[in-house]
Amino acid sequence: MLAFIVKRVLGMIPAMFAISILAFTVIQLPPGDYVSTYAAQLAQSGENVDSAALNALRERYGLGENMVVQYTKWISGVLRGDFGDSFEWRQPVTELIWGRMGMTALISICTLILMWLVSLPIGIYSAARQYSVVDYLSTAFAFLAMATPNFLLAIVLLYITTMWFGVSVGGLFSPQYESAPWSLGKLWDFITHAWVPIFVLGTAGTASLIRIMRANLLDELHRPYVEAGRAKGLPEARLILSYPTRVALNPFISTVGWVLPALISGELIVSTVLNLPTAGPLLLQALKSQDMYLAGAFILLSGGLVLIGTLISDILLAISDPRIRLS
Amino acid sequence: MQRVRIAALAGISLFALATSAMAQDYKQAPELDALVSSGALPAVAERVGANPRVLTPVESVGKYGGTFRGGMVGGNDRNMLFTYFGYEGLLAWDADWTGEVHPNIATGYTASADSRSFTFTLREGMKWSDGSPFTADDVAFFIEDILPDEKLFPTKPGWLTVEGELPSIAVISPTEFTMSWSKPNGLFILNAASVYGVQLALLNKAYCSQFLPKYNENADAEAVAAGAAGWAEHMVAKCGVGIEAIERWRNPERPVLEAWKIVDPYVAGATRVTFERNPYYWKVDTDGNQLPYIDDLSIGVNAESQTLLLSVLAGEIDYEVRHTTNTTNLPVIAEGVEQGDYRISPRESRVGNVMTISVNLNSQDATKAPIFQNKDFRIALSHALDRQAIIDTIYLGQSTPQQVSPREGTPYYNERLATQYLEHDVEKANALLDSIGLDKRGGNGMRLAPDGSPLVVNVAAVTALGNMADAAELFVQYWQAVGVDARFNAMDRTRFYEEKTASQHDIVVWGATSGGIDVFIDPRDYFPFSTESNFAIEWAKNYIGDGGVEPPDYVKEQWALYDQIKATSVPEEQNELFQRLLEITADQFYQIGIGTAVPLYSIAKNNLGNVPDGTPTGWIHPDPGTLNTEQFYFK
Repeated sequence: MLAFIVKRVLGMIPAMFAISILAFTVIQLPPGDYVSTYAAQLAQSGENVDSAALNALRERYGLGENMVVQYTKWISGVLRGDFGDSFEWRQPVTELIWGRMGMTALISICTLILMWLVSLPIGIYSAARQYSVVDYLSTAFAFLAMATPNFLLAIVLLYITTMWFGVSVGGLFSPQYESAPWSLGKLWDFITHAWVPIFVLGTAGTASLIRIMRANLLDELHRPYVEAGRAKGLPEARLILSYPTRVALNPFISTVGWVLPALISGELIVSTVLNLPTAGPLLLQALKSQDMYLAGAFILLSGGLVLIGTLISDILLAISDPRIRLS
Repeated sequence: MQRVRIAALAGISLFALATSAMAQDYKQAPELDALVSSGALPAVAERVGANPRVLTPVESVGKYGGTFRGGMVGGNDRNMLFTYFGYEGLLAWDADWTGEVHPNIATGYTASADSRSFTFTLREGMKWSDGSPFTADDVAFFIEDILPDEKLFPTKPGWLTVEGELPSIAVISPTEFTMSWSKPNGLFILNAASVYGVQLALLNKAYCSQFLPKYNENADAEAVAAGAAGWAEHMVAKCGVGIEAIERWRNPERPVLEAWKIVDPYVAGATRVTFERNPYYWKVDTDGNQLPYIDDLSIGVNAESQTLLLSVLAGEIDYEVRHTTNTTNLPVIAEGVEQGDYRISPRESRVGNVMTISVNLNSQDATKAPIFQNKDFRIALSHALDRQAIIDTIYLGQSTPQQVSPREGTPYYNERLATQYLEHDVEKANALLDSIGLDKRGGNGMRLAPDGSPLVVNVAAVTALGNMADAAELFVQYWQAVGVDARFNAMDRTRFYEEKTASQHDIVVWGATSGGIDVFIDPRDYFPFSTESNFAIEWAKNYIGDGGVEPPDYVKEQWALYDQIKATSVPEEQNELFQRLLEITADQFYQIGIGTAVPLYSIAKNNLGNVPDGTPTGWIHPDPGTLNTEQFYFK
């Protein structure tokens, strides 16, 4: 088991390097760089910027050198923990990211937990009582939820909560609670705001998890060992939950590694629409203005999360399924 | 003896009465009373100084109290804070932008006869937000120590340089100074009253000089110790050197002259920026109440404009004019007037046109260049457009057809420039195109270049910005109908700027800029003036001395006329010279326009008082700062 984990961790390191190179290259692909964005902004507000000054800026930011040199400088800084400065905000990137990533992680984890809590029972019930009313209802809900674009759902819910229920628009807190210390009132305020993004982000995922669970369990329920258990007198509920469900969970666990990064990237659009203080809006703005170091740091972090998530799911799989551990 | 004593007593008491009447009874906001009585703040008369600016409120004297709620959008919307609450220059324009310049920080100015030097008088006893005195030394600090520095100002503001020369300053007394150049700077006063003029009194010498090596030999070491790369970066981070620097809104310790000062700073990742009252603000109303009326500002940061729009509809924004108030949103905003308890306050736009179509006269393509430079080609394109249909589709009919020109009703209006080639005349367009050598058609029915090759004209517009992309798609259809193979090319703004700055574009669609008094400050649409003169960027580069291509004589004549305008500060002379310049613009027909600027609007909560209606918006005239937001109040 330990050897398994160590091998996987060692395999992550070259993968991280590959991700960093890819991220850096993709950010550099659009024509121009941050100085071009800056020049466009200046020109729009009526300042005459001549190309000599722009080139001086490029040199100062190190944007004029070739890609390999820039990449080496960046990655050596990252390894030391220095992610560089954001050009647009003129602040160190680390300051910008940590606050936002914390909130992103909170929302994503809440969504993940709720998704599992909701989808597993419904999926199991749907399979056990195939073609019942609950099964049809959950199927219909699943297809509807997967078909609706989640940012549209976000806007509609935002409109409803604001205009009909008077909750303040967007964000995770009302203005009066934003900088206040934590209290019961602030917690309730958080819940009234946070349920919209958690619901929106969770619906498509919940729907697909229900369907997957149902399909997996249906495969298992007709196996001989279930019949054998029933013949031996096990209560139906205990039978289903102890044996076929554990097998049906395998595909679930192997995909849990993908769920976290999918949530983080999926929530980019939803967060921008709902104005949440998470990583999404900051990353989107950084990409739009080619704010190299900020965007690069975010993408590196997301890549790292994919790798860690995959590792976690591999470990969980090894724990839950002895066949994998022993093979 | 008795009579002398009585007379003396009478004289003294009269004198005492007189002085107390002069030391007027100023009133202050109730939230400051406790601070004054505890001794933390001096009395209000001392705080506003001996000669505060007396502002006449738009409707009535207001009440103290309340928190103003506003919203910013997107990354880095620092200019929202600037235009709303940061417009405090030596001089100011009035809300109606009549062109009259009013005293603001300065009580007045005198210009020398040759417009080379300008003397300003300041206010006696005026203070910064930390209680330290504001004097001519603060302006001198900027002119002598900050402006010439290469690290802090790599590019010098154009309005402060005359042929590359920076101003020199002579401090006559703490309340009087003179700025001068060796050659005339006729537009200086206009610029000083505009958004750009805020630069002059932005920096507090006592606070900011600690970051300069000239005044503090440890400046560099302290900067590095604080985590900055050097003293220049630390200076910018703490003092926010330029008018548009985001750092202006980041440091609560930085003294300011504005009505409110920062509490929660505008750092990246902030969700809300808050301000509180500046107790040393140097303006009072006609009743002697120290301004501002409103106690605090609470500005939310929105990732994109839809949440701000929703906030407006929910009644959570007290005043909005910057992001959501466009034609597209007008229906939903008008519908929500009752539920949101706000009103729509009309505003004017003073730009020269709703958009400009710039055919690239400096095209790098050898086949296209002579075609584009042929005026008849542009006239034909202009006649091919059905302006009324375009206006009805995109602007809901709120415009009348016009070419790119200063607005009617201003002294700068040129009728020929504004009304030539407006008719929708497809026959005339076809005839003109046939006559300039584009009569041969290819297999697809589109016209061929004179050498027989297919002539494809790319029309570029930025999709994210308003209606330009929608309009460009319509233009392309009209031009294809007269046989010009026009193709629409949607772009993002950075790539758009890269391409046009390298003069690689064929036709670009962009917004127009000046149409009122700002035609002198930014005449980019009327002759090749800057890299924003999209029709001839190479000639413009030649003008600003950044390479480029030498233009024909008529352009040089326009440059000479503009230089003459800059050399005189007499408005009548400037107008007459500008009309001569516009005659050349009309002769050459550089840009094609669509229609007059669309009426704009802003949103104000019903309980927000002293908000005038119908005033012009803009950047050079930085609405709503020009409405004097310090006299807004909650009824």
